[in-house]
Amino acid sequence: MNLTLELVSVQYALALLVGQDLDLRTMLRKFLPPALKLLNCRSGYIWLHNGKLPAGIATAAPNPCYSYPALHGALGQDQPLLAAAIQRIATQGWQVSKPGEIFNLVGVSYHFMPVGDNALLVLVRDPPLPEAYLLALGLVLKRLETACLACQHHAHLEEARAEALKAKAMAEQASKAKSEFLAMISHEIRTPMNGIIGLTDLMLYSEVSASQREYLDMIKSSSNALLDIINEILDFSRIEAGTLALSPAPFTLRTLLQETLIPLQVRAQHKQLQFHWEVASAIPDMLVGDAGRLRQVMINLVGNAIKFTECGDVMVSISLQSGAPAGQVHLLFAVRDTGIGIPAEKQLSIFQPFQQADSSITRRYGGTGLGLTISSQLVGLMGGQLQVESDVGHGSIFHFSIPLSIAGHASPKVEVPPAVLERTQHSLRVLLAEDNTVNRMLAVRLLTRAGHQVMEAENGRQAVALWQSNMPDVILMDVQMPEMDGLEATRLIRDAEQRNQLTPIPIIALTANAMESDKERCLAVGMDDFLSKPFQIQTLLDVLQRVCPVSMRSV
Amino acid sequence: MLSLQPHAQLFVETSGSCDGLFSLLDRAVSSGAQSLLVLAADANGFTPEQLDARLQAQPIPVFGGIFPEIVADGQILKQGSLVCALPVAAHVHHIENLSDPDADYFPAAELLAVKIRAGSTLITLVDGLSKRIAALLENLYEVFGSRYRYLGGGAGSLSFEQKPCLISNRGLVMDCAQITALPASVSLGIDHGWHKFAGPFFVTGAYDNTITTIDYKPAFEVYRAVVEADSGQQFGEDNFFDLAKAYPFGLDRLSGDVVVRDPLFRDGNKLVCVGEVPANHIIYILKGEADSLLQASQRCAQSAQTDAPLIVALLFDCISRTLFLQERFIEEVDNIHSTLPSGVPLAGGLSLGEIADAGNTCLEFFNKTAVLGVLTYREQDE
Repeated sequence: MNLTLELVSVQYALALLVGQDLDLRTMLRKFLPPALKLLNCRSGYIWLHNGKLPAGIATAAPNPCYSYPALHGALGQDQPLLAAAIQRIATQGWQVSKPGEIFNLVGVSYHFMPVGDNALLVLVRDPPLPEAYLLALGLVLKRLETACLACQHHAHLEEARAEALKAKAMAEQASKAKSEFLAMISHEIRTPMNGIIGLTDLMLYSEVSASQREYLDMIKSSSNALLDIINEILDFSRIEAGTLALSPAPFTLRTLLQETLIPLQVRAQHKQLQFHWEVASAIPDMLVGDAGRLRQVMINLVGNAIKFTECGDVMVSISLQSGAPAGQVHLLFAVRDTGIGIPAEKQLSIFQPFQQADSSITRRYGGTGLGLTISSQLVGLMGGQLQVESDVGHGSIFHFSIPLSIAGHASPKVEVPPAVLERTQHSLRVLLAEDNTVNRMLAVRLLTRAGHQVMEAENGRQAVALWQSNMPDVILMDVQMPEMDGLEATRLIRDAEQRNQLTPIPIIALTANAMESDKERCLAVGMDDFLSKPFQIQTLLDVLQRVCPVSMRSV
Repeated sequence: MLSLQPHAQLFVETSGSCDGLFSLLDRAVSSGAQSLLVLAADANGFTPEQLDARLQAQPIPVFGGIFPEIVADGQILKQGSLVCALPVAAHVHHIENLSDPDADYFPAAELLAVKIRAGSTLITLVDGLSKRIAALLENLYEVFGSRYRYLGGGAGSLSFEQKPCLISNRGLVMDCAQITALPASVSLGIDHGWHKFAGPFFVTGAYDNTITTIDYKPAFEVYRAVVEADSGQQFGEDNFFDLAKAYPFGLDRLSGDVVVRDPLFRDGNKLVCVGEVPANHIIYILKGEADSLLQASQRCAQSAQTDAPLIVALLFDCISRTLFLQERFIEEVDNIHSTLPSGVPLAGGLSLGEIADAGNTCLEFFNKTAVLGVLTYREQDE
């Protein structure tokens, strides 16, 4: 083969060996051994020095980043002559004249070839390569330099990515721990709250003086305020854990607004504020959506508007937007106030958790700083985006647009107006399993007052025994109890019913754990309904009515 | 004190029977050998069922392989076995899965390096029909480098059916490499006698030991045009190797050298060789004459000559040289045998590929080459 063709073919083959991987060692392993064979070399060494003086150069030569064959120990032990030469070259700032320098070290030719400005290649070959080959190799080595730098860059990126992933995993772990902590704490707070609210209710039903009634009302409203905060924290932990899901159902929009806004109107009136709301007449009344969550958002936005407005008015408007597909409406909800307003630079952060526009706000107006975060997330789940327009000193408009389906013929769930505690006409034999003495006493009193007979169990084991011996009409089962929890007790009762072909007894879970997963666990073991503590007495009676139709009752 | 350093002893039988082989092994063990090299002819038809139990019962290290034909002193045996009773201890190791396209043999070689003393000669036998022999040798040299010497070849059958062909105390195994460390030096002769005849061509498509395209055309079409034009014969259904044995490929190396690659058979338009062919390399089609090949064997024998105290001469000579030289192949064996001092046994396998370290390049897998290694006692052992 003539020289020209040989040079071209060597360049061609070597160039195609460069850069076959983004891992430096793998890339060099795919390049150097075949290159050495092609060039008839005995061995090769490469240093990626990046133009820097290696640490410890005064005492030892740096090891190459790759060599073929591999070194046996340090360079100084394996190749003392080469080590001495490298030490000298490295000390001189890795300067090697182009296209390369050939040193004869004890009868063997070592080719020192610069790989751009960032690396050095040493080829061992006898006879030495002619200069034309060194020049031809120089072009390939320039590309090898780029490939080496790309590998280094990739390694840095990979390292940064791994660190980011590690930090993300740690943050997620911390977030999970926080959610678990919140769930646990909510349980711990809800249990005594159940006692406080229940006993207050009980006392309000009894004969008390006017001042005592006032104090009791204050206790009850303070307790409810505390419960609201706990519920906000719980909602937030659900959003963080990604477990908050909507429950769409048919509802009547105007009734919902009426129920939601009238209590707020009372609050506005206390502050001498004008309060209006209007619903565009073209909006159909029967819609499908999560009415409870929509109510929560409206209470938060209107509540804030009232809270942060000292004079003027608060206006709620719901209008119809165009562009909705058939069977749907796009509704624009807007809450306008003439309050303190929010500075432009704070308007984004108010939707972040624990942020209020100003920390002095917290001191002055109170609140967890979670309300807007939760509302924003809920609106997001509903398919909209909560936005704000505001001028400091002139007020704010919070608005969002969400799609809602128009309900067909299905009638919305009729809300039963809260009834006064009356003695039931149909007494039930209720088995109450509850380990907390105060809560047990409270429930026994309430149920007895309502005309039901109550058997008490302090744990799941006792509950199972009492069920076997007394066959009650219904069981109210606390979930967390010592010795045997409510889930296990339910499981044993359901198994026994199946074995003995008994009609399943209604079992209602009573739990301070208000997470959705708790409800699923209760239903999964065969419980019929779920009551989250603290509960209103009327809610308990309603559940009893629902799960125990008159025909089932023994008395 | 040369009398204390005996040559190896050769035990040969030509029946090709298992009993014949084990009788040789018994005799070799009784002779006081420290390890045994076993070379058997493929025509014996040995199977693991026949050999394994008795090989596993051998009291001293056994290594070796089954080759298409074997050489015992001046004789070429198409059938039969030879056992070389070595006066030095051997440590026999294996590296598995020699056709696995994803295997990296570096870790396995690193494990071996811990067990093998520097300066040993590594008798490296491979299943010659494995697909990644060159990759193994690349990793072997990466770990062991020039601190060791290498000699060996590819075992197997000319039927080109891959089957168990490596012999050791484990039994008869396939698709692996057998690396036997001997505390000996080796003096090597490597030569082939083939010369560039057509080309250069670019290998534009190749994987493992298969060439798919040459100059972006189907490999077989390019090869066929050259070979048929020169030979005046045509490739038919079943005469591929008959024609191809005279026209190997040469992988170009700088300054005119070539490493030979033997096209074994074709798979459609693809050509399957003994040993890998890297893509994007320049290749030539080579040609040889009987005289140039025989001269190469003379050069090979002369290069291997040494003054050091001899143990045995091991020959790995490509089976396709036999097929090419036919009745003149005995001259090649004579060329080599005649250079050895009297009493030094010559044991050889006519191989599917040859392994040796030429000393001035990296370790390579050769084809169609004669490799003679004269094992000698090391200076410190004298």
